[in-house]
Amino acid sequence: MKSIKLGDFDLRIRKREEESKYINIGVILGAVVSSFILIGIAISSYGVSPIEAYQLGFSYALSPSGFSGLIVRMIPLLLVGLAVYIPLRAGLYNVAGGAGIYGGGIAAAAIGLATPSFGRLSLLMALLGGAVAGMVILAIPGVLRAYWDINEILTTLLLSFMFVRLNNYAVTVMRGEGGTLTGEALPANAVSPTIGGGIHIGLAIAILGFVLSYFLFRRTAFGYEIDMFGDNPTAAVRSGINRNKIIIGTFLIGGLLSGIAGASEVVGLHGRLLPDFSPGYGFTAVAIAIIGRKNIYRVLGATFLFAFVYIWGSRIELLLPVPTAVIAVFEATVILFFLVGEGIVNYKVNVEKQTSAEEKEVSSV
Amino acid sequence: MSQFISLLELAVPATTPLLLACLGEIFSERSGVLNLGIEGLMSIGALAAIIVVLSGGGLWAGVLMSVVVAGVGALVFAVLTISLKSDQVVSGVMIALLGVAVANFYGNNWSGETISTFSQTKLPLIGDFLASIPYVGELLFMNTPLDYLALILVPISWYVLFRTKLGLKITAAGNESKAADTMGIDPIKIRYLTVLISGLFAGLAGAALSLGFTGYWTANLIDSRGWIAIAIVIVARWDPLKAIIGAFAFGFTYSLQFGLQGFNYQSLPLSDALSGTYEFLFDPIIISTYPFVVTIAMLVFFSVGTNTDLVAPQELAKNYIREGE
Repeated sequence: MKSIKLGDFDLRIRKREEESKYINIGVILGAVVSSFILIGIAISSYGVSPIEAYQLGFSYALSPSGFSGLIVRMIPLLLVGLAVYIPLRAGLYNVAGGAGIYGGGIAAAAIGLATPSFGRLSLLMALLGGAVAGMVILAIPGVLRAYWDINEILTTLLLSFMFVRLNNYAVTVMRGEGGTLTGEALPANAVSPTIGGGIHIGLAIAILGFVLSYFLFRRTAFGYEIDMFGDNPTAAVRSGINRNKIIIGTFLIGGLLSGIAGASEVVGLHGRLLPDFSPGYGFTAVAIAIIGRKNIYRVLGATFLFAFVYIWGSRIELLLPVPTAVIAVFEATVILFFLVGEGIVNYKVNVEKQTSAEEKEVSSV
Repeated sequence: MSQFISLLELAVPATTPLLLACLGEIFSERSGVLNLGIEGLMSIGALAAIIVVLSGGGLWAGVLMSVVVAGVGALVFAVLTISLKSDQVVSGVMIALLGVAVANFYGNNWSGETISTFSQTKLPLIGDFLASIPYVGELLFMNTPLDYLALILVPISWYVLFRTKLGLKITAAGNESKAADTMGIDPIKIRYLTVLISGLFAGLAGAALSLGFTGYWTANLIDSRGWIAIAIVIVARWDPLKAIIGAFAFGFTYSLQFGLQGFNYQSLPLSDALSGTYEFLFDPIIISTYPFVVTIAMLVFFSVGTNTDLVAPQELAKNYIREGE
């Protein structure tokens, strides 16, 4: 125990027993504000006024085109965020959001290009194909962890790095005409209809995904088992919960969600396969899931926050001489400040009258 | 044969950063701390080294700066996990993300400029003799000073971990931290020390890449080597002597990216029947995925049928919290 002696009194640092909702929200807000300040300092090193950068970003995000852009960004982030969040509730780390997105995107583009004569069915098949591809990919770390206890963090990360490259390869295979390296444009039947400034079918999928995830933990036995396993795997297994079912099951759900996220980006946003079409969404999803922790509404809030940061970052990168890496810097600092805040808040300072060791022994007898 | 030797020659400089990062990670993991931030620490180290050299400092000043910067980064991770008891995995992934992002952010101004890297030299006194060994002589004993440093650090790390009191304390902190604490070994202090070591080694690894190999900075220079180094720790069973074999195997797969460029697969058997397969396998982008495929395959190979729990530190990735704290 850490203690500082002050005369007869001890200042002791103790773990806080109850969790306060307001403190939690305060920690998140504090982390966001501190990060914005820190990023402001970083931006000013490029000779850009942080105030100007913030004004540009905020006024754009509040404009109609900025708002639809925000919704469009939230679609993949929410789906991949949930893909990390669900295994995380079982205490498992899925850092392969990127692998699922790219795998789903490649599958959707291939199916879309191969089925021009299937009418509107083509769109549905592309989306389902993306979901299946994501599940197949994420089954690998799930099975490896379940049967041979192979660290899922490393396997999911390595798969992510692999699929960024495989996607670039797939783009060269499906290369379309024109000067820039992009995949061939999908036939109209495979492309999602859009409303209001590019909002596509992914929005409906993301909402459905969110609602189903909500009911998974609120209403189903499997959701309950995931939580039990997450709290204490040993006790959960002793009470008859199937460990492999939890591990492989949560990873399959993660694969489905991230695969369909990639597919909806391809058929909805881009209409073709693009190189690097997921700018670090897999890592952002980890940040979203961590802020979400045990509360799915917080996942939604974090998705909004990071979608906003993406919009803001890409806007100032376009107009001011600031590198895109500013977005990733922000993500990481928010989470690190959040962890610092949690660490400080979890331990509160107690002032206690000092008692000598002998007195303690007497009183305990 | 000569083609194979030239591939091996490329593998040595690719091995050094992996080996250094891996050695540092062995220290922190043996004491119970899973430091996943290596990729980020290597990034800021590599950039810091290049900036010093481009600003007129010497190569060794660059190495020193790299070590200092990565060491400070490691201390941030240490405060988060060891003092504030944050989740090691989350903190590590975020330190990695932050390090890469910060390096990309500030590196923007420094990319494109090239420095002259550490030159390949023979060791003093016995260098001439060693380099004259057929086939492997030039390969192993005609390298940069940082390559030799990495090589020397292998037995030193092994000795410290397995033959000294400090090594015992590190093992105790990673396996029986409560018992160690009651016997007067402070796991907190030990873990701070080993995380710092992992940061210093990651800095060296970054410098070995930027000052010993590429000679320039570019975005994402580290290219996942930090993560692969962490996988090597598992494959090497937390043993520095085995780490050198693992690091070389992975260095070799990295070197394929350069070594197999323009490789003529017509000479391979069944090239008519398998030309499509060969074309796929020798595509430069596909070759760049080999390190990841090989790493996953190695993790599987070394995990199936063996009980990792027997060799892994018992309290790996578990924060030490004193009773009543």
